[in-house]
Amino acid sequence: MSLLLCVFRVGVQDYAIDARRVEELVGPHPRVEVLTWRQLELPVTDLAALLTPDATAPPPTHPRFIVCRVGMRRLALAVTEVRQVLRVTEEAVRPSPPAPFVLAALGDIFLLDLLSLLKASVSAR
Amino acid sequence: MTTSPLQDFLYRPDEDTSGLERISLGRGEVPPSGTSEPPVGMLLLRLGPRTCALPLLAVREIVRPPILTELPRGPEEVLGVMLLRGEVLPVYEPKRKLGIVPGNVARAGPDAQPPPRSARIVVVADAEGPAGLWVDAVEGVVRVAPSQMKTLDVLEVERLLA
Repeated sequence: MSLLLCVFRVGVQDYAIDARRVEELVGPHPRVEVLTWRQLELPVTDLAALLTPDATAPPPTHPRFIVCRVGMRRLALAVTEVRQVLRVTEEAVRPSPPAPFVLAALGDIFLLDLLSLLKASVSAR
Repeated sequence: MTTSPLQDFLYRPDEDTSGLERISLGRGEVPPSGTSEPPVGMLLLRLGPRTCALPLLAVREIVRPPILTELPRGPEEVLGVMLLRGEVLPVYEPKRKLGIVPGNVARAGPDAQPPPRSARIVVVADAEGPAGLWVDAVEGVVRVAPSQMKTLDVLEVERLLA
């Protein structure tokens, strides 16, 4: 079985989500909390704040936004850079070193548990 | 029960997004501007042996079937009602209306069967308010060009469903 990954950088680490979630890539765009996209108001989730809360480097002033689908809803993920879209086989995916919200690894890319990450971010507010 | 980590990685339109209502406001499909034939997003549903599709625009959310309350003197096509975040919704089973068999499993009341793992309620909104549609499974999302869809007349529909 093959997977299509959307690979993006947050801070100094590459992460991936299922590319079938991705509707559009927006940016670079100034940092906002709500992104207006095709007449919809999408809440923005800042992945740097969730994945690298202790980072000392300042966040990018003009992040890229990934408009992505979660269930039947949409939101925007703020990331440093979108790197590539990769098709890989399931066999190439390996267990990852323990890291919060990371399900598995492909080389240096961490496959993200987006749903758990978003749910944790909601309860943290 | 161990599940492959990839199961939590892969996108499914009916994945559990409970708790995310506050941060996910965007809903519905917006056709891309500047194209002559904007594709239509469709949700693929399984009803018995058939795959059917519903426009994404019509779908509000997808949930696992909760306990349904019977309506003993309700209309035949209403399976019962469900509670969704304090809202009461009527639940229908499209399979029955479309004559797709098997379609007579009890879903509410004392004879109700526990729902199969893949069963879902697709919550749709219409002029009278939201309603739930009981489906056997959600199969995915596709984008279809309108020219790929063909309007059927009644005889073609009957033949298809026979």
